[in-house]
Amino acid sequence: MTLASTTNIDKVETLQDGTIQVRQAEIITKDGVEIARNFTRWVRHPGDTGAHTDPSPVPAIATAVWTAEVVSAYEAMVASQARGV
Amino acid sequence: MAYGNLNVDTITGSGASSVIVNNGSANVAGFTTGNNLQMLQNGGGIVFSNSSALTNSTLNDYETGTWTPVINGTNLGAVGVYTKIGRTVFVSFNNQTGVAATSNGTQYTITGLPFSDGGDYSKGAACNITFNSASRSYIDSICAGRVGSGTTVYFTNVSGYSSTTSDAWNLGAVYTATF
Repeated sequence: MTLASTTNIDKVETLQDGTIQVRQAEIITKDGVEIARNFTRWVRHPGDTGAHTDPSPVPAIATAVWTAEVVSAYEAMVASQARGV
Repeated sequence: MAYGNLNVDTITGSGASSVIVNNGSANVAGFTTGNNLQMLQNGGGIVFSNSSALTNSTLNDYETGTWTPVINGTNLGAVGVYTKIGRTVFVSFNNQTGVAATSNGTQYTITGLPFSDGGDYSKGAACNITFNSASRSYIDSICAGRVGSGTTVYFTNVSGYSSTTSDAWNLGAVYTATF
């Protein structure tokens, strides 16, 4: 019996405002057959430099989606919101 | 009207199927190993209505997993868990120590939520945050919290007491994701 674990980015969702939602899957296999799949998620907002150090294909998507216009529009939207609890 | 097929077969993918429903052009559902009914196309779901307003009565997403809470800019290595049903997201973490001391009235942030709420504060939701205070013999102290700004929780210590780094923090929040 051989157990193995691999991780990969199995879903990337791009929202209308340019936000990128990333899902990473940890896939556990037994003798080559998948027996479990666990997810971890995080979100990258337009202009988030952390996206460029994420696993592929997130950096390429961020580069393609986050034009200067998208980033400035997102920043303007955030700035327009009244912060508070 | 195009007719589909019900096949007893196997397919490759995240789970081999023994019974497959094909709509005439693609496999749309199947019973996978482990006896699960699996939707095989993105966006497919279960419709609880025979009306034409399918988007309002379709359950098309369920997912559980983990997320990494970053409290006031510091990743303390905590593991949060989430459950997403449709657009509703339940997030939590428990017994997180090491959070910087907060005095009464101090505002902090938790970032790293697993789904964006669209960044619209008007869609934010109040949430429950507590710290288990050692100085008060481990009495839970309630803070005021709110989900907003995409993937950030804002909370203010309104307990009347200060916390220390040894106090355990707990979060439970429900909010609406963009989709």
